Amino acid sequence: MGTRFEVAIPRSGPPRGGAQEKATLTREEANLLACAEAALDEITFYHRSFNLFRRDSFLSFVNASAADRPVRVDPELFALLETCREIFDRSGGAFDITVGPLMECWGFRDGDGAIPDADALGATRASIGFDHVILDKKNSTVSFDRAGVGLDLGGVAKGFALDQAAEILRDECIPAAIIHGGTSTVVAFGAPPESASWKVGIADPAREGALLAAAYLSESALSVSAQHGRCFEADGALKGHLIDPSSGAPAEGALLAAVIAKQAVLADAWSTALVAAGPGRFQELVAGNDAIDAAILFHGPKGAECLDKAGVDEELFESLTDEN
Amino acid sequence: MKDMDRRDFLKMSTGAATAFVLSVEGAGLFAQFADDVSPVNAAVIGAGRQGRVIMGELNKFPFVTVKAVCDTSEGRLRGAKRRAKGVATYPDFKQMLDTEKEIDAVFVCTPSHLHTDIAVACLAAGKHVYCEAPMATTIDDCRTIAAAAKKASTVFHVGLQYRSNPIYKLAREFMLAGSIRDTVCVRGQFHEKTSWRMPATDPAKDRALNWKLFPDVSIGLLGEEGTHQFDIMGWFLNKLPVSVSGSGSIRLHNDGREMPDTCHCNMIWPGGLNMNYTATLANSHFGRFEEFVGTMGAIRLVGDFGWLFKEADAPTQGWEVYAVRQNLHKDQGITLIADATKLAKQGKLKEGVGLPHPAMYYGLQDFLLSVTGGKPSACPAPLGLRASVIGIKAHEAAMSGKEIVFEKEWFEI
Repeated sequence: MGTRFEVAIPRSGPPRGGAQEKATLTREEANLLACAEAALDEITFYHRSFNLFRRDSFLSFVNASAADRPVRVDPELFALLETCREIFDRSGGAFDITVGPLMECWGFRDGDGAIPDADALGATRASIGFDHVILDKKNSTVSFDRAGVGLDLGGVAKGFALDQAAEILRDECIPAAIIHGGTSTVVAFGAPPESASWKVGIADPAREGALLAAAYLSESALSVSAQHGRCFEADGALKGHLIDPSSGAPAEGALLAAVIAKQAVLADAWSTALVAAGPGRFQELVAGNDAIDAAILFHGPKGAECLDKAGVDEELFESLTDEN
Repeated sequence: MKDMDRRDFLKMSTGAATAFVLSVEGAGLFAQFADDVSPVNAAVIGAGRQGRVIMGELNKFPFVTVKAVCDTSEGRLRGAKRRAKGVATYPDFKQMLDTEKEIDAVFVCTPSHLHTDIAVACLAAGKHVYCEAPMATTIDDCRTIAAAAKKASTVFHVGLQYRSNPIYKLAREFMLAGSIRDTVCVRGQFHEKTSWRMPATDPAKDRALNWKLFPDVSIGLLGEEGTHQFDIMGWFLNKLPVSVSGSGSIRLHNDGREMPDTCHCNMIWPGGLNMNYTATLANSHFGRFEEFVGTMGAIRLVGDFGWLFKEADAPTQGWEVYAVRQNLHKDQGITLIADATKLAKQGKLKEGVGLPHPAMYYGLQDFLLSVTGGKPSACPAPLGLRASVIGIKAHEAAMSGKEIVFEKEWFEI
């Protein structure tokens, strides 16, 4: 697993001093550890299920089979696919879980990308588009209307897994916790001691070591999608791994999008969509969007930095840059 | 090897597309069910981790419909509804058997010490039964289940899933063909850093969910995990062990439990062959594996991967020039690929590394082949008895600190 997931649960009582490793855990502490493990196990379950790098993942099975015959999926995965369809429609196709083959074509599956062969790109684009995916609710199946289609849940899987993990903690009556998946997705409920909410910093992609903004979370999730993680330079421009499905090429204009939403799966999907759609559609996609509580979009490169803010509650983001 | 990153793994492999390796015909990699296969209505008893995994894999068999799920936990029953569309849920398996008359097959995934009554009742009700391993936690209970299975006209299959695993079947063929020559020693381990504890704040829930930590019902690491791995060893060696000794202690999870979180055992097989095994919840290094070390090579098996490491003086076979290989420390292993001959002809040998399905799938596949096609059970009750006895006695040896010599009668129904 490339991403490091962490669960933090505030513990009641004074901190324990001395060597902790050999100390006997109290019943409460043992139970808290069990809760955290259960949450992480839940994330591992979904990671294994959706991981396209594993030949034996359920999603790999779907991709290998769905062009030949409808593949039955469980109600939970079916509901996730329906959510992806809704966001595909609402974003005008900017969020599209069928872009996986395009990412592979651009070399982002196994590396930091490169300009693809034009013919290969053209052939791949023919299989892109959620319209090629047929969801049969009655039978709980998914199928593809042609070969070459592949589902890639990379834009929602982390958020979805974090939501399930948070539910586990809530079911166990944990009053506050924050769970994060690397530097991209966080879900939080309750608050740390003596605070009203969890404060999470968002790294500035243009200034190493600096923060672009801070997000305030309570009963909500934050997702950050950024181009600079896996990217290469060509023709003086940064080409990142987030693809614009409409052009079949790395999305241009936005370096980073951060979204706060009630559910991590929605934050995850919409942050991806906002980068893919670009700065020109930011206001259109966020205004009146019930799924998004607040969003920011950071334009680059140097010389054109701009931080847009929008959403129901823009105060959830605190800008930390001099320019804004 | 747990959660090995496939990208790194493939980068380390070399080898041309054309090659062939010993492959087992009927390895079960892509078993075909008849086009007119009869539908199978299934019930899952026990909706915890194993039950959940089984329900997920059963989705891959279009002719199987999970109609009912039983569990004493309301939360797990709610979760089960997310696993199978329209499934009926029951807190009590007897109520389920009385109500769901159309059930053909039952998957028993409860805590191990609860298998007996459930398996026996389901067999008596005329159901095909897939029972997780260890089959039971006492020799008497194992015999009770085996006797019921013998009497029944339906299929009984124990979840010793590695016996259905194509990589393990291939590796066993290599071993039987003499690829490592004479066995020098056997090793195995189960390493996973986890507490084995489920969240539970009241005593009743604690006992129900954390049964593995209660010495009066649990056969500990050596019973729960070791059973599977000792069975692999017995299967490959085609022998029963002679004796076992062991020890256990708490190395990390100092939370008031009595059950050791780390166990070692030393098992002696006929001919003085020694097996060393460690199971720990305190460390994840190298995860879970089994290893057969011989005078001409070694075979290491890690779930859905397997390698043959040849000694420098072992004769070279022609096909090895084209084999897919991987470096582990300073040794280079030949990657065992199921269905390699076919894949090589298609120029897809490297794509065959690993398995297209998790290990659990192949055990379920074999069970369903028996249920629908009349094939004899790949893992009948006598095998379950055999494997469970070894695990039960290994646990007993570790807890008592005394060497136990296996009695032949323990393995008899």
